[in-house]
Amino acid sequence: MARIACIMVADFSIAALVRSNPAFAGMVLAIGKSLAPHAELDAVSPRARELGIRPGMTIAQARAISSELVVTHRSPAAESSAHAALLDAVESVSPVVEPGAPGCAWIDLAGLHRIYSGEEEITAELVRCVRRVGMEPAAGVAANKELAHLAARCGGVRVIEAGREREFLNWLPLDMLSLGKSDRGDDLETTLARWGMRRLGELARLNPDAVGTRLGRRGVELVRLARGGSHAPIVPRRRAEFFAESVELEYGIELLEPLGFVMRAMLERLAERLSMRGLVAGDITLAFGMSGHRSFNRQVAVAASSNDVRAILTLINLSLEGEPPEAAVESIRIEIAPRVQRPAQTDMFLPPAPAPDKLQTTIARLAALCGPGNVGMLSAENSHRPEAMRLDAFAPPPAPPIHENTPAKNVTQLVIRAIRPAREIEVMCSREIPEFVRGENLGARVISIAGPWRRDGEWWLGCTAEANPHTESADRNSAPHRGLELHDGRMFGAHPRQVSAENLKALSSLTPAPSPVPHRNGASSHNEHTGMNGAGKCGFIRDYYELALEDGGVYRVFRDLNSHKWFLDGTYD
Amino acid sequence: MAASFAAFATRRGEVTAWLDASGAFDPESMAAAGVDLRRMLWASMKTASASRIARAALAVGPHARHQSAIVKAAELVLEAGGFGLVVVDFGEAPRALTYASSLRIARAAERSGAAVIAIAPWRMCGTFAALSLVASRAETSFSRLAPGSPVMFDGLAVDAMVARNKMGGTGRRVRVRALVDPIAVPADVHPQLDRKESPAPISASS
Repeated sequence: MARIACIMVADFSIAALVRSNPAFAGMVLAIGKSLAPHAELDAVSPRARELGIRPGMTIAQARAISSELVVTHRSPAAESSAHAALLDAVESVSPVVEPGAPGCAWIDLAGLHRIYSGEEEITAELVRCVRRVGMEPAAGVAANKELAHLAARCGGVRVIEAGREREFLNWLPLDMLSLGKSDRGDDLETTLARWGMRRLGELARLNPDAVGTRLGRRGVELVRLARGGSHAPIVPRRRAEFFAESVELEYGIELLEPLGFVMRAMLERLAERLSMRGLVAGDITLAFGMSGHRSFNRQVAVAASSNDVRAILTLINLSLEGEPPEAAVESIRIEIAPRVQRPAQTDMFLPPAPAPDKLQTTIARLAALCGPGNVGMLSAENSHRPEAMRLDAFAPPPAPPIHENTPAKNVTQLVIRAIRPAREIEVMCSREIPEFVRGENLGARVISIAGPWRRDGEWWLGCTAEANPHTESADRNSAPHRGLELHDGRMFGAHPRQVSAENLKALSSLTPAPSPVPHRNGASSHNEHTGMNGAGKCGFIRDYYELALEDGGVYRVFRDLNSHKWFLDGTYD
Repeated sequence: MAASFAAFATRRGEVTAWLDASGAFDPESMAAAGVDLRRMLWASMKTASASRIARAALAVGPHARHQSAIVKAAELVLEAGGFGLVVVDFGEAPRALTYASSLRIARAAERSGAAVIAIAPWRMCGTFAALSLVASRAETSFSRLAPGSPVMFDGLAVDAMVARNKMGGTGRRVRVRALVDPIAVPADVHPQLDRKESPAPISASS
């Protein structure tokens, strides 16, 4: 026999407001149709109800009862977020959840007895989860949706055991049901009161056919409900593809700091919802409604999935600082694409590795500290440019089995300390041979030299054809140069070290003669310098040298033959 | 030497981190040195002084903020746990760490069981370092394969002296050869390098 639970939040519009703005908690609060004194109240908080304020009163009447009354508007954004949070909370207990009216959800309890010892425990878990998202629910468990809903409407936690439904229904007052109107348009509440019906048990004892004759289809439905005979199945909702929180602000926010304050609370609620589902936050979409009916949308890429609110907020702030909203923000919507946490299996005989969740959080915090593009796994890009690098998400593979340690050696591979971007220096040459180097914190005579090793490439990108056909034709005329270059754009020769420094003269004769005028695309030397550093499309051609200077340092420098400038590429230490 | 330590650690399957204060990390030569870059978390601190977190720190001035950001990053990595080696490259002209910062890093390293290598032109961590090595360039090797052939840069010989070691052995020296191509280059290409000295090899465990 099916068992269905119903979770319901009483005074949902008030609960949603309190959830989005915890300052409302414990206040004498009411939601009015408008803020005018004659406007009626739609909903009141439990505190206001204690004082005798009821929905339907005018604001003036309510204020006469309590001068502390705070009246506000209904917030559809807050209600939508709260309803989604409610569904997320109950979905963390059971996968089969049907959303009902705002603040209400049905849960199929089939199969949960394998995890929980009984229905009371399941209900307690449901209530605990909903409390985690900031609402106080009531719960009912019964054999069908309507009965469970009626049980939840009674407040607290109520489990109707199988076979005792009539016992529960008998004493329930009729106004627990939304009676509606009969087929002839009569008010059913009035009609049933005239018949002397006060409780569902009395209605259940009537003959359905006779009720149908007098009250029509709705009458028959009511009798069936009163007998607990409904068997409407649960229609589960689809899994959420993103998690969203929305807030409508009473006043526009112009500064980023108070905006961050509001977003922090939203992110905390989202992180709570995600963690309940065992998910972590991925990429973030911000949608701001601004004054003047303008909107502002921003995608924030998250380098490493994490539920660390501080790290996520810092990433958002970094993004907004770069390009802030142009006007005061009046509504905020944050959408988060959920990601599944990467599981990891540790091995007793392998070196320990960071726990995936901690690693993701750490990467997210580092990205917030250093900037999103400065953290990850750095590797050399498959490019002809020597300085090209590629940054990927850091995800260390499982550790390989440890082989015997190779004996330590006192011979290692030389590693260069790169200088990025390459720093421009001044090199004095004699017969094309560097003799003295001068630059920032640098100035010494060259005592040993290796090179040049030529590297060029990307000339095939061919931006010159459109930009300056004349210079391109001049380049084409230098056919021997093309013939000598390796067409994959790598260094000359099989190995750079096989190129002779003594061949410099021969190389110079094969290479287009450096000219003080713009070389390939007619751009100025400044623009070509920009291109040299990776932004241009007109290729590069460089002669690399390793120079030992009198100051004791060994440097890798290159001469950009497009701009005829020298650059310090790195140091060996 | 730090690259050698990182290569040793990654070969063993350990996860390492390289905090790059000056943007000097060259992945191509690191990979050539045997570092498994898939196991190395790289973070560039070059622009960290401008970040919101660094600005929110108490440190005033860009240099102090930069230093604070590096220390903060090292602490974050060590707090995560599971890293076998954390290399902090402080760049060319850093300020020495304050006692409080050094102590925090030392304690965090102790808790997480990680080795922390600080690369700087001078001592950064004071008495909190378990081992301080002073590396100085001893020789630079250029050679020709034959008369008239091109001059090639072969590498460096670096003298590493133990300036401080809590386990003893202060003052010991070792010569490490850092070569452009340590496998392919024949031994007789480096006649000026003394292969007989430095019996004590340097390994990550030291």
